[in-house]
Amino acid sequence: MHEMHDLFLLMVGSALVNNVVLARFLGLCSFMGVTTKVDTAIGMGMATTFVITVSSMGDWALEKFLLMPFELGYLRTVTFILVIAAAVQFTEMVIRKVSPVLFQTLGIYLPLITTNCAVLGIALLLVDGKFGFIQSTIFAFSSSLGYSLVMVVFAGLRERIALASVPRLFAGPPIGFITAGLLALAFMGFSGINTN
Amino acid sequence: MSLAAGERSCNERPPSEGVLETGGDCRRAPHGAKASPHSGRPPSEGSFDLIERPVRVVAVERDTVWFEAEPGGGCGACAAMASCGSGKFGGGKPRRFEMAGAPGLRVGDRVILGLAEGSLLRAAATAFAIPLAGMLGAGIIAWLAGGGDGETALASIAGLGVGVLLARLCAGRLSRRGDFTPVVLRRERGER
Repeated sequence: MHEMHDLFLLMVGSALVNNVVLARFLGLCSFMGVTTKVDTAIGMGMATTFVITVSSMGDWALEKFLLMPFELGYLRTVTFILVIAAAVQFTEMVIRKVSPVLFQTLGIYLPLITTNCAVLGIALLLVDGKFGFIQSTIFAFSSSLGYSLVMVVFAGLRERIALASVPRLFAGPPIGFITAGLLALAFMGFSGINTN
Repeated sequence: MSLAAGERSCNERPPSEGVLETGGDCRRAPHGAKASPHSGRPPSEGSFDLIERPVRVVAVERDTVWFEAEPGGGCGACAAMASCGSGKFGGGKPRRFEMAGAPGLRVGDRVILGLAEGSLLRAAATAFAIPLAGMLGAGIIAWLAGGGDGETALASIAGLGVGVLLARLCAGRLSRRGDFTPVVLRRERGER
């Protein structure tokens, strides 16, 4: 049970305390771009979660069996980008096989993930953590879950803001950034959690 | 109320507006929007809150119509699309798909397809959540059973495979129910 406790703390830490968007400031492009509707935010969040978790397995294996033993650390970024691109292609292929209609519904999100810096950021953080396989997978999964959570919360806020009377100069992205700042402040509250 | 370009709330749009928006993406139709007489099968849930997508008819074969989605990423394609990485990585690549039971459409027509809002969520859950649950579940079980990194990795891959098969079964069942079937909301006759 001690192992499960450690995994749970790893999940809380990566999803909330060190949230990839609001604490590490990664993935801000999609955070601002895809959060105008809650539905699209959920779709994007799920697609990103899947790709990050699947690519983390490839990243872990390459780091452990290729980059570290042969001291090829300088190739890490390029290697991880290739793994992410391959994971996106794999996902696209699987969804196309599973259901062509499903592919049409979800296909719009997949190309966006390749250029999402949060995906590469999480892969590089895995290396710093020096995790085992399951810890690395859970870290990637919960980090992307934190990303999805923030996307959905922010999309909900923006849907409400769209109906509010915002001064002309602040309308659109400016009020979005102000809201994101307030949300980041709120998430700073999680850093007070005692994980011991 | 003023919003930035490309961020107009769908609630503001008059229901009768006929101008097609290009480069945009999933836009929700106003409450109460209903499928036109040209529509195919309506979504099974009976919800009229729809996500809209502009498409172009590229081929018609008997009862089957081939559509091509207009370019634009899931982000709504802002003014910086030309220098945006997502555009270069396939965001601008048109995607083709077919739909049966949409009579009266001709090649070149531009239409707005609507998909029930719950369908997108069900589709995402089917395609991503089921395989992911299989992968993580199998990996954690193998790890708790005392497996090393290699065994855990193999179990995760096997779990992912099982999850994909389950997703395929679920997707087939939902497709047969018509959950992922879009409806034609509006059309604009193209030049022939």
